[in-house]
Amino acid sequence: MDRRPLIIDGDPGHDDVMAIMLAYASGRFDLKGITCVNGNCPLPKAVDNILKTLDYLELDIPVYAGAATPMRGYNKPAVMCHGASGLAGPILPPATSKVRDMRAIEFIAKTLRESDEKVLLAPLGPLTNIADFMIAYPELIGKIERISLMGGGALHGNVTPAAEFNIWHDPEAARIVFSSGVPITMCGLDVTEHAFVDPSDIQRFRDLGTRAGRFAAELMDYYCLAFQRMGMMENALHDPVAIYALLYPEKVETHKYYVEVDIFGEYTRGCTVTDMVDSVPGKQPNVDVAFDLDRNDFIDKLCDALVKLG
Amino acid sequence: MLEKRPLIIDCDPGIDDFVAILLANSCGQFDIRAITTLGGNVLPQYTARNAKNTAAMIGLDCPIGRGAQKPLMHEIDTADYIHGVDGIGGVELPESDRPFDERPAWDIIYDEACKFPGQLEVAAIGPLTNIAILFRKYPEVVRLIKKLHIMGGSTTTGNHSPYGEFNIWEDVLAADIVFNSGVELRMVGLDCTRQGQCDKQVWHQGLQKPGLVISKLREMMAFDPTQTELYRQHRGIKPPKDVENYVPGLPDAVTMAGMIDEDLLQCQKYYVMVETTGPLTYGWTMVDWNMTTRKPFNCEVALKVDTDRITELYHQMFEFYEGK
Repeated sequence: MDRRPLIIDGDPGHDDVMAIMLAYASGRFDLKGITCVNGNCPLPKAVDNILKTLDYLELDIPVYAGAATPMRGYNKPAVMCHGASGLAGPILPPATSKVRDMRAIEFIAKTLRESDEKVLLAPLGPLTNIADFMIAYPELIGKIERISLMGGGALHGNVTPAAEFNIWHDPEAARIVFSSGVPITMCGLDVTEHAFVDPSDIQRFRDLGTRAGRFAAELMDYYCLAFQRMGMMENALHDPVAIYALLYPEKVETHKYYVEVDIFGEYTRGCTVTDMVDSVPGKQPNVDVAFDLDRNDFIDKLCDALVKLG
Repeated sequence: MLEKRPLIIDCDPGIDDFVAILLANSCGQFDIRAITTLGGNVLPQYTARNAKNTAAMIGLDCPIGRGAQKPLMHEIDTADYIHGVDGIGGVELPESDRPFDERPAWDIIYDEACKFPGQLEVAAIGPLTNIAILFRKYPEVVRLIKKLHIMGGSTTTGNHSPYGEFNIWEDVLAADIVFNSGVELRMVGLDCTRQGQCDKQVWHQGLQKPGLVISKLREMMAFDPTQTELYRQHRGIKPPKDVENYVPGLPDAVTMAGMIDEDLLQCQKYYVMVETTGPLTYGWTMVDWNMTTRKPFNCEVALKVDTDRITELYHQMFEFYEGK
């Protein structure tokens, strides 16, 4: 089977790192590069986290720096989930590889321009880089095969009752992406909350006996602890779902709806407003919204990846 | 010390953009590095064509670049009811076959900013979409640009809506990005430019001078948008323009005049924010007069025009183009 070209955009991020491992180890993608965005943590930390992780796992994937601020400039790192470094938990040796010189959006443009086939994008953080790319290179939007993103929620949020963190962090960027006409799979809280890890899963990662497995277990230890401290029992592993949905779409329950990102509402700014009742006149369904997945298979596939990585 | 001030004009010609370009060229102070365009007053293919033809007609040899086809977040909404569908009231400029620059507007501006670090001045007299894309793609360019002068906003009333001046209204996200970018910024709003009319006699005498360029300006002045169907749909039925006594308000030209003559505009620094979501007040450039937000000043706001000085500039402009 041919490997499909893919660019992952993220703000690593514990679950971003798990997603990257899943994507790489599957062997089904030609992972062109990772673009970093400000989100879970400030951009320099995101870049550093990903470089350290790739060096540690001995994965040779180029890394590019993208937006340091959301489109409207507010800066809200998710310290509570991810720690001040953005990747608290495992202690990794300092990175030896370096971020590439090219700007993230220039890299995305170059990849799309030079690719014979359309390219997949998997944004796992705020959509700032994707929107910056779309406004600067509108002529290349048609070369995006599909965007499988982690973000949003059809029926609820997390940071606010209406908004999930990635969309909330940069609603204008999300609005630009969601209205771009590109096929979108939205892996929002509706599905990712089913993709939780529990202590037995973490033990299973550890018991795989690989370095990647131990690394994942350490990441998850911190991640779950962080959620417990916040009084939340859910330890949903959000970002890998966006990759899982690209690998096994038949195993993810999706429905196509019209989704529009709210930037106006007093309480609902950042909400992915999903029309599940066909009430918005004159609008066609534009997003495949994911609602459920087979959690056991999801964990199995993560374990396969952690074994493959060694 | 550079002999001439490097300048880029980012615009959507546009009748008043046309006059701004004429002024910039005739004053002799600027090394006009490029004219970049975007959709706004009218569709982008017209603004690009008008810029190209205007430059060729006045002997300006710089690159003409094309930029944003639409505002950042939504479809374009033109002011063709003011400028005519083609942007210059149906006036035919000699068609130039010079090709457009291949680079998008934002890349052109960035390249020039790098060539003239800390020296390049930019006059943005249309919606701010190109400038916003420039700042998003090259955030560090704000340090390279000496000053950005915008025709946009108003400290009092708008034109396209009660408080919304057209350029800001057309792309509020772009305006928000620009006002928060940290670039050295002057805002020349409608409340200021409305004061900047040329003396009637000077204007009409100037318009009668011989030459191709002035004849085209004369034709544009004779264009009466108020009698078109487009205008009627927006504003209802109005009496026809009194062409003989008409002196235009030319917001873009006033902005350019303020760049040419530093004493022409009286300015004061404030913190200015752009309303981007309120349905009635969308596009309003709100000046924090009483510093209630406690945010640092981000903008030099132009408040008053010296009408004698601007009349003198127009007078010099007409003299320059006489017979050309």
